Amino acid sequence: MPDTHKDKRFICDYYTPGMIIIRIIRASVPCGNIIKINIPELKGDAGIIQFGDIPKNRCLKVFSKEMPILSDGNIRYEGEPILLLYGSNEQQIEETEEQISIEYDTDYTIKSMEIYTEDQIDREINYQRGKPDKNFEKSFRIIEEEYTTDAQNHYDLEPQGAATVISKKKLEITCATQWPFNVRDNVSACIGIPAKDVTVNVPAMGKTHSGKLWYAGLLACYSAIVTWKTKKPSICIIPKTDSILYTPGRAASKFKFKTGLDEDGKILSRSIDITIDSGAFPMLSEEMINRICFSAAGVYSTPALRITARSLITNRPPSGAFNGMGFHQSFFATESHSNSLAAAAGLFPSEWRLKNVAKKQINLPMGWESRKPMQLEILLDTVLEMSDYTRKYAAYKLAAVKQNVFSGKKRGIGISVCCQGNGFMGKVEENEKYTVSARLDNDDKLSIMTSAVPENFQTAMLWKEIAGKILEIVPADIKIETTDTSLVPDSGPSLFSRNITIIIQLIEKCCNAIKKSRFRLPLPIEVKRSFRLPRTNGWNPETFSGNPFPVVSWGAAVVETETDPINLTTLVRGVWFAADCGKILNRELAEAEIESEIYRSITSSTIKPPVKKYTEKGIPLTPAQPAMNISITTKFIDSKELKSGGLGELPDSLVPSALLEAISTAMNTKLTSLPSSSEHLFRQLNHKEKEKIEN
Amino acid sequence: MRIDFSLNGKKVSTDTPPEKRLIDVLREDFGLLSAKNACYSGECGSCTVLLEGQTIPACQIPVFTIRAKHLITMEGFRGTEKYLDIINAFSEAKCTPCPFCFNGKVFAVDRLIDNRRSPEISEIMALLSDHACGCASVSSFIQGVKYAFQNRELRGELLR
Ligand code: FES
Ligand code: FES
Repeated sequence: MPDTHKDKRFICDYYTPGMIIIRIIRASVPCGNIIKINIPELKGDAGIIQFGDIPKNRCLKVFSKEMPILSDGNIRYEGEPILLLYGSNEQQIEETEEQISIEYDTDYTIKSMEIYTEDQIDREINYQRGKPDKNFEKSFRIIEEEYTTDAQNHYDLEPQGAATVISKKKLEITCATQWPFNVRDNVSACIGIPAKDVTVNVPAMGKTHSGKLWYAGLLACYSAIVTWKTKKPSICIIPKTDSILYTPGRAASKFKFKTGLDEDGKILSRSIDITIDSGAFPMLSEEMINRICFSAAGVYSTPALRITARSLITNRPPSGAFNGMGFHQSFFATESHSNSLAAAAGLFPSEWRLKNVAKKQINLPMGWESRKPMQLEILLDTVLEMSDYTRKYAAYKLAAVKQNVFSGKKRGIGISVCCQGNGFMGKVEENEKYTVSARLDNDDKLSIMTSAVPENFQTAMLWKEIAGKILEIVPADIKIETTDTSLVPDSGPSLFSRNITIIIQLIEKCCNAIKKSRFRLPLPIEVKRSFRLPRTNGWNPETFSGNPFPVVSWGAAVVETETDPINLTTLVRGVWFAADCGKILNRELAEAEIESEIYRSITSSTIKPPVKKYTEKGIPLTPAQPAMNISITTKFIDSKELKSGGLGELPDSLVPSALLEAISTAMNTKLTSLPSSSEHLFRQLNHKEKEKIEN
Repeated sequence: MRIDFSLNGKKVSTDTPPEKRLIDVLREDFGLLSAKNACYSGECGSCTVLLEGQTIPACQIPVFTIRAKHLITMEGFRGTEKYLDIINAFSEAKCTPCPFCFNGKVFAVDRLIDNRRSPEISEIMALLSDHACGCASVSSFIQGVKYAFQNRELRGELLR
């Protein structure tokens, strides 16, 4: 293994003694107004920054949404940054921090998702296709259910942060971000200097799961403000607790389904009511609610559909993109509901799915059309066969009903099917011009310039392999310049598998263009290519019609479990996974990605992390990965899509519902909320037992 | 307080508050950045170093306790045959932990395969669970640990 690790510097490696350290003093109440801030006498070079000290623009901007960089006196969530305390002597800073006290007027009602008022609604969608009410009247049976998903935090090992130095009269920011140009623009706006006087360098980063999309910009602003004021290098790294509790996690959600089936168990009508918690500042709510609506009815033929969805402003930390931005919540709910529909129709969950999945593009729930034909039945057949689902389901179901709860370990099996939309839902990609450039130098070495940040170094390897193949250059002669906004073009934010779908397309285009002129023009040759969403089937976000994504990936999975009826812990025996995600660029990397995401998804579906509010430094917060060796079988079916699609979000859309269905089957119950821990299962079984006795 | 100890085979000395965390001393006073400061709670393993041949979380150790002791960080471990056993095995198994958790994982594997018997899968999984980043391929890691054990066995190190 080439020892490439020794020179990689993460944001925490940028601290050097003497640098100004920044501490964020946060609100200790979820809502209210600040009455008074008591600050002790500051020693040495210590200083304080409050809202009014921000030189120019006091809000952070993400697309069209804004949030104050520091509290303007009003508190909207517990943990909201109120002031920055800085200085070079860590001990002094710590002592001062302990003496700062803030008085609040907290006579306000906390805004939550559970009971909400009209003024909390940030965005609402009312969508209708066909005649849902008429079809409900015609339905043979109607099933109504509710599902919920909790907010989910980021548990990355690597801390979040930003550092700033002034070099040649420019602000040089080093920031662990997935969106360097957004950081640059926000810093330039808040300091009030031209964007050309700010450069953003991206250090090495671990896997982000979209946790470093816009939050990093806030930390960069803090560091930039302090350096601007003190003219000294500064660094703002947040402790791990803060990173878990306050960086934008996955939005909590609630789904209410009403589905009408015909006599054969086919969907006739559906109405879905969705509520999502966008937190105090709904920075990405438009995209999130669109994606949630888009996926809420699953991938099933739905002649009539009504969706009412709203994103709420609450007194919780702002929600973020978190892998898929809504697809995960929707597919958990809709696929779990599908199992109930199957049960109501007297069908196996697999049979019901095969009967109901959309066979033609035009039959997809909201009328959106995928560019290429889907092969959902093939995907389902593939996982059914690989896992021996039908036999196992029949056996486990019977055993669960017949046997005593405590007679040995209980096995269960669950199935799910979903899609992954790669890229933004049309609008953003249409409005912004995102670019990649490549240069072949005199020594036949290639440089690829992009501000897209590879989510792991495997992605960077993939980019090199692809470019190398086209130009017949070894990867060692290819350099990827992603780290400096003054050198690379704006390639947009790195999320939604854009690094695979869009950036790779652009790299290919650049390399093919270089290849064409390689022996006609003198070296160096530099080429720039920008992304254009195909105009055909243009996406209309108002009517949800047309074609929202450049590429859609599809997947199906089966999960088999074994639950101990005494301590209610579950072991995952196997996961069978099939995907149709266009051209597979590197099978090994794709399989590794699926495997790690499956593990991650199992952990977050069954473990409720012990997040508490700790005041001292040093916090046991990492939810341990389950110590189980899961047999994972993956198959990529032949795709009709020639482009490459992402696949990293598929496991987290497929596994939760299949896993909870497997546990539910085994224990003869129904789990309806995510995550569902052993404790949750215990409460549910207890409740069922109580009901039985009462009846 | 002046503290003398051996760092990566060399005698060194530092003048520092005795209760300062070892991880901060290594990073700030000696510029050794391989051990990462992530959770500061002894949970994640990112800050692992070898003290007298034993793996310890450097974030939990006040620096005065290492007085006159032998300390090895990844900077010193790199290039040793023990390191090569693991790194070559990872390469063969296509196991690619990211540079952030690399330090903790490599030291943990070293400790596991030093037990002179082929590691059980449950032990490897428990190790991974202690260094939970959730983003590296589990099967390639299991394979990597097995190869690392074989490499060490082949060198005869385990028999001595
Ligand atoms: S930083 Fe020491 S164990 Fe995490
Ligand atoms: S933190 Fe290193 S692979 Fe996840």
